[in-house]
Amino acid sequence: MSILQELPTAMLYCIALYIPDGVTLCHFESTCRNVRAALQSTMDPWHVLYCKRWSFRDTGMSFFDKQAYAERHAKDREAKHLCQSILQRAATADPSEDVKAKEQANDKDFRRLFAMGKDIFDECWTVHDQIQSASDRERSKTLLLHLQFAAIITDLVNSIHYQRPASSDERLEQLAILVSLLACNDAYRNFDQFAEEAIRAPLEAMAQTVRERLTGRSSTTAQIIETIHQLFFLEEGFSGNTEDYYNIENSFLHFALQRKCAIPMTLAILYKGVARRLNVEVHIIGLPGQIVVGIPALGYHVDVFNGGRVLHREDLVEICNSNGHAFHEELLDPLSPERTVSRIGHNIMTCVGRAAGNVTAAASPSALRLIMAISLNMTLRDPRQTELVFGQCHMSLVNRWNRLYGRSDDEQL
Amino acid sequence: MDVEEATVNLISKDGDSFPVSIGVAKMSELVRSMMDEDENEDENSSMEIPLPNVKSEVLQKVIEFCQHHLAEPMNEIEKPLKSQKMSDVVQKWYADFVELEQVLLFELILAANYMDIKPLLDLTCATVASMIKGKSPEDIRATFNITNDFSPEEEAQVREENKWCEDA
Repeated sequence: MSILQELPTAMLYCIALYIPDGVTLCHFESTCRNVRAALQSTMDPWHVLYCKRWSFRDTGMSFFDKQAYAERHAKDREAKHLCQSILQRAATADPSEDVKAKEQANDKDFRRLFAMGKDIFDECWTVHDQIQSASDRERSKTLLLHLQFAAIITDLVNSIHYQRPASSDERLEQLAILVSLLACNDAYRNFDQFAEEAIRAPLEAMAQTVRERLTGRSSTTAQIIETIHQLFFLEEGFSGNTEDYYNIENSFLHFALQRKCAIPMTLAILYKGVARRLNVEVHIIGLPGQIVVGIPALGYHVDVFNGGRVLHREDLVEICNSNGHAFHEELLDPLSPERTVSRIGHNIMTCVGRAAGNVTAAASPSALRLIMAISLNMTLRDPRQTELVFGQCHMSLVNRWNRLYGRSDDEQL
Repeated sequence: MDVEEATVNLISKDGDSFPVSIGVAKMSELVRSMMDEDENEDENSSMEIPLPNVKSEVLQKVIEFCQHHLAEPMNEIEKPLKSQKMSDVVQKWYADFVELEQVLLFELILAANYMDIKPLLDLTCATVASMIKGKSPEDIRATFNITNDFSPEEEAQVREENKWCEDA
């Protein structure tokens, strides 16, 4: 009999940890009783493979088992097939074919892909990479960018509705980053990389600067806030975008980080992001007409839109009154991550509303994104309407796609 | 030349004695702990460590590995393997080292486990994994001479459980 077949569990375990893919691991497990029993006694090899394949940071504790791997694998494969069939339908423009049937088939595939979240995009991009013809590649790229965009929204809504265990501040940042991905351009195929490079890294860099300045001192919250203030408002120069207030880009973190100006909500999230990294609690307060940040440990508020002006109680009352509201204490309650994101959605919608009369804006390539942004807000307000909203979003994608390959048919004439 | 290069004699299953330096001997956690226990016994003139589970031929290879490891430590092998070619994941010497008859390779795994030499266990297990990569269950059985000892019911169950990985 084979020596391998008789190896003790510990050694079979060690071999299994090196097996480079799930399919082979399954095949190994299917060889004989001893191997099967050894592999069933642990989920580690599956966890290692899962983390490797889907770029999860392996924290040393296994929580992805074979079933999780199998499910994700199946999802990837389905996405790949859907993607392939959509692209294939576009490529084989057979005039005798029933256009309606083709659209319906596309529609079904889109809907399914759409529901899968952004996890599947690696797989879809792999399909894209294998396409030979340049025009097909171009079309598939456009398709994928739109799908990707739709998937971000799906993910955003999911992460709001199914709260994942994370501190509320972290969740807020994560949600705001997801919203920012809406404006993500095609230079980034990898969202995590984008979020890391364009958003988290600059926030961490600012926090690190503050840490370095405070090194060696046992710093109080007041000192930390003072140092953040100095860096954020005076040196980095973050301020309100008074010249172009209703530009939709003011709602996206990476634009704000690049331009150092934005609307109050975005500035408040960035300010909070730096403070969070320094373990200082900062609240986002939604006063009528203006977002400010509150620093509970110090008992005052900061006007992020106006260079970090310190706001005392009478200033807060003044802000409310000038916006036609009476001041009351509950207005100073911090906004939850969900309400914060809902306000971001509202801001985006306002920007779209203002641009609505502008034909150029509506015809721009970002028009679809704007439609989605409105839908996002609707979704957030009424979760029961999610299906309907997704249906609308996806119809706009389908129409756009149909227009795209319709045009390509003309080119072939 | 080192006047007092202390040595330890490793005694194989076949009774052969293999003199090795302390550094080499201590790569085995088993040997190390045995040496630590014996530390107080007379002068450590010619300490003998019996390894009744390891045949001479295998022990020779183990020592060869340990000696080389002291001179050029092996890179840690990433889990899971990122290439099927061992020469892509470890230095050439180690990749050449595991080009062995299958029986000897498995005996090395058992010896590495028994003597508790982690890098050798890693290298040999990774090598087996690289030989498994991309093979069907039947191919794996054929390669390693494994007998299919599943009952028909078990086999059906295994197939059902692993259905997800089959169709491309």
